[in-house]
Amino acid sequence: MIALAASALLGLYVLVPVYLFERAAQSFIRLKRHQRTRIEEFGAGILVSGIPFVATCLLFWNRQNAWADYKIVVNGLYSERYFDAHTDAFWNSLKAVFHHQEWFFLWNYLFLITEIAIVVLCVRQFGRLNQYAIFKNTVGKFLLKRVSEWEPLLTPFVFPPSEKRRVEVDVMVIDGKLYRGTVQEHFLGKDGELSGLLLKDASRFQYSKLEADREAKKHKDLPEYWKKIPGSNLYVSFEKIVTLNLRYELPDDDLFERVREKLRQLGIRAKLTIERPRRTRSEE
Amino acid sequence: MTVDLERLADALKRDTPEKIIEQELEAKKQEIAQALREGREYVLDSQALIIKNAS
Repeated sequence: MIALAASALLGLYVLVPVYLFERAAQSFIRLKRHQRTRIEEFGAGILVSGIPFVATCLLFWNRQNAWADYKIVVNGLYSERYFDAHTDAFWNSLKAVFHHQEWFFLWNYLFLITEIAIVVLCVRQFGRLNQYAIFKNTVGKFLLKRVSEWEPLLTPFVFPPSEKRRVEVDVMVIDGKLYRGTVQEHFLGKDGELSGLLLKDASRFQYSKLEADREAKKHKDLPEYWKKIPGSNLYVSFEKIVTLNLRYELPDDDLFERVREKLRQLGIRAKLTIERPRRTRSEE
Repeated sequence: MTVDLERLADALKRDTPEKIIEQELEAKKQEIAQALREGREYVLDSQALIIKNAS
């Protein structure tokens, strides 16, 4: 009986909080799914469920009268002889323990929700907060140990969210084709390995056309050889990827401001325009 | 494969496109000023940023 009660408590105060924490965190960040030993898993679980549990214990610490009820219930569950001798006291204490547990459970989960909210905030604002040494050397270090290595590479995770950067990628695939686009989403396998990339506004570089033009001694700017791929999304399987060239680009207006400011610092008074590389029309 | 994500994060933040442009602007400061003095516009090739005479 005591094993059953211990299992229920383990589930309620360790397993469910860890599960909820992982689910909540996963919606905002990809966590590492490999390279973690059982001891590390255990440590992470204890830390996640331990913080709200300890906070709740501290909150309920001065309610000494509850300890006597817990003692009677544990003794009754452990020993049948004790239960037979103290049946009435056992049931009264069990009722008090249930009542106490209702509040304990409620507060534990309130602290858990607070913990999740703080972690989600730290994750979402990682790029901004990581500029401060105190965050970088404490929470930042801890977060980076838990996060999948693809997250900083394929999302603007390390940059302040207010910068609204997009991840631009040039992908060379095994047949020598080169694709370019904005990373919309990346997909991970069960062991945390990259399985594919979803690109939007994708273009393909026309090598054959470039070679033909070179043979014919025609000169065109390289951006002319990018051909827009019809459809809004292009999926590239990681098995076919040879290289990835990643850039974390600012919105044009912000880039414009940064360059203008730099020109001002250099003492150059000039007008500035940004001309995005022209892309040829979509393939029929 | 173990990746040191702290170093990776620092490296990604160090070499952003705008920082590369800023370095390019500094390196080509004289060239840009010369082009503008001669009334020409200057195109920062890789980024298609066109710097024109203010007047």
